[in-house]
Amino acid sequence: MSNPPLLEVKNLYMHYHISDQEIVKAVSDVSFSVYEGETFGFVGESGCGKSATCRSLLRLIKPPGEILSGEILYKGQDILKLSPRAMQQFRGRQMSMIFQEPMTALNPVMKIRDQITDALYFLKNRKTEANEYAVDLLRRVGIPLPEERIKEYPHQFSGGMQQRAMIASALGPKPGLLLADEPTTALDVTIQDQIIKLINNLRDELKMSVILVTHDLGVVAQMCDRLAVMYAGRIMEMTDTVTLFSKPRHPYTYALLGSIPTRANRGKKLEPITGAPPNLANLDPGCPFKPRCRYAESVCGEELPEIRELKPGHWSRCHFLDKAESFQGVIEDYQQ
Amino acid sequence: MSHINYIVKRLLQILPVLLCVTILIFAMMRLIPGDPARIQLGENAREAAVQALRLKMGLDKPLVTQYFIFMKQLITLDLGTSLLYKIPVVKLISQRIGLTFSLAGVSMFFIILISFPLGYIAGMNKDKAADQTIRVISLAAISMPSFWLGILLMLFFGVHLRLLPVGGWGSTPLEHLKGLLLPGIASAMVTAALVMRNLRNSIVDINSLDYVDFARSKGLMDKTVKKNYIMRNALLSAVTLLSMRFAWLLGGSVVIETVFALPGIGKLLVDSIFARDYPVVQSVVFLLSFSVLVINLITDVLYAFLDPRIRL
Repeated sequence: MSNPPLLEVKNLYMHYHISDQEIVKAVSDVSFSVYEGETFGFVGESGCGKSATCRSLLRLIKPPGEILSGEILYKGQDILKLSPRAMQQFRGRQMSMIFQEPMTALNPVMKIRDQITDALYFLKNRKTEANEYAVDLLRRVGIPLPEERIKEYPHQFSGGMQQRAMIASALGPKPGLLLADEPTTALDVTIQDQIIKLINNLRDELKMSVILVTHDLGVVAQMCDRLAVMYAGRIMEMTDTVTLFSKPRHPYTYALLGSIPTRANRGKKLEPITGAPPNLANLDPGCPFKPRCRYAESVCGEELPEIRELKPGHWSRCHFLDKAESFQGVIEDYQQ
Repeated sequence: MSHINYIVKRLLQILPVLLCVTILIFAMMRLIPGDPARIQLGENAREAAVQALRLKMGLDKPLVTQYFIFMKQLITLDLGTSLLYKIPVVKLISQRIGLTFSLAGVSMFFIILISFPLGYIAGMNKDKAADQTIRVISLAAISMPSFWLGILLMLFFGVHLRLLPVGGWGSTPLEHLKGLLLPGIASAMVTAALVMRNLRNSIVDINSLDYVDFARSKGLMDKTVKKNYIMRNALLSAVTLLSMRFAWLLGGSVVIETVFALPGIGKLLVDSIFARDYPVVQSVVFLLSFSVLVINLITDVLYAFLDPRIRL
């Protein structure tokens, strides 16, 4: 980690300004770094701001959403300062994104070929080379008979094949960083595993970095080097994957780990997190996790804890970091 | 290949509907009170002449036989002679059909000219001033009956400004065109507003879909995204609606041709109904029904060509 990070996000705020009374604070004070060649994960419940963070990175937020402040430094350059034209040229070539639902992320009336070749900016002769390049991409993402399948439309592909085609399309312009927004959620388990392996292999082959957004801790364990746990638009804990599973230092992280089945808690009842995530339009001044936290005290309702670095690379946002017990052994179950 | 199969299938599906149409028209003519032969010849005709016509029309034969005779006449285009104009119905219709289709064509031109740009602007600027304004205008346009708009246009451009004729269709191509402008606009307005709203809503919907975000996330140029991703999908339903409204325009010609005194199929139908010119009424109704069927077929085929997901 001595090299400068590929992507460095500092104090990003993105809110949906629905009306003067209703402002949905989707992303608040999010800071993190992604280094070259690594996979960085965002985990959390639905609506915690992980996808919104992802879309903010590519400035794909539509009104009433608005990035209020912060910096997104890619190779040292703040992309929030890019002109719309420069931003358009930044997308794809530097950073591209794959979506949760492959069926809705592919244009239904365009052939797969055209949806890959339209982003191959670097080819001088787009007509002759593009087809060959697109076939090669499809072959790399594991689509059988790519020469034939490339002439088909998205609806002629199965869900897993659509996901592969979307990955091929996103990787066409050779990005340095791939944002994967729940890439396996819409797929069944056997296909999930194939897609995870595919993304891992492509990351190594193409020497890219990956930001993975998911609510699936199993996927995180298989893919991520480091990760951030998000809650109510904020990062609650951020560290490397091994530490997070073995020595988590935030009550929300314990709660998350306690609510999934592992070998250690086999035969025991799972402990769900009681209550529901807060309404992002109506947040209390204190810690957003307070109503559901079993360690909460009065200070938690009054003051939002700062995110603090416990050890190099391990960050957590809690007033009572020392009280925390640790969940030894969880990671061993994941790695088997 | 699959497209040809699809077209053949749809053609075959038309046949039963067409059969129903012929039965309806046949029944309609038989359900009119009184004797068709007597109606054709008038109240004062001699009994012998009526009898002779009854025999000629086959009215003494059983209904089923009569229906087959009717079908034979339809297929061979032997539609009889107009009672009012005293010329064969086929000739009468062929003289007037050009006007009605030209009128529908001119309307179509105005519909596209008005609805596509406005729908595009409104959809791309959702909830902004341009969108709000266009939506108010379209609501007004939908609420205006075409005959009333026609009269207003006539008053303003014809009587007040004296730029265009208030009615009629002239004798040279230029006069034809001038005569069609006002009725074209009048009958275009409602459909233009509908197509505009359809296009606007499609664009708004599509704009929030993942494939548009995905296209942008790959760094495609704004105009490529708008052309290949947004408009190509938005036009699917707009073109279908447009095509279906063409049939509606043909039916609407009844009103608009009457208002503007244009000698087309619509006016012919109205005149024939008032004159109890049954052979003409029967033929025009059949022609209009047939046109609707053919236009619906064209719509479906068009849709299948535009949207690769359609296979029947």
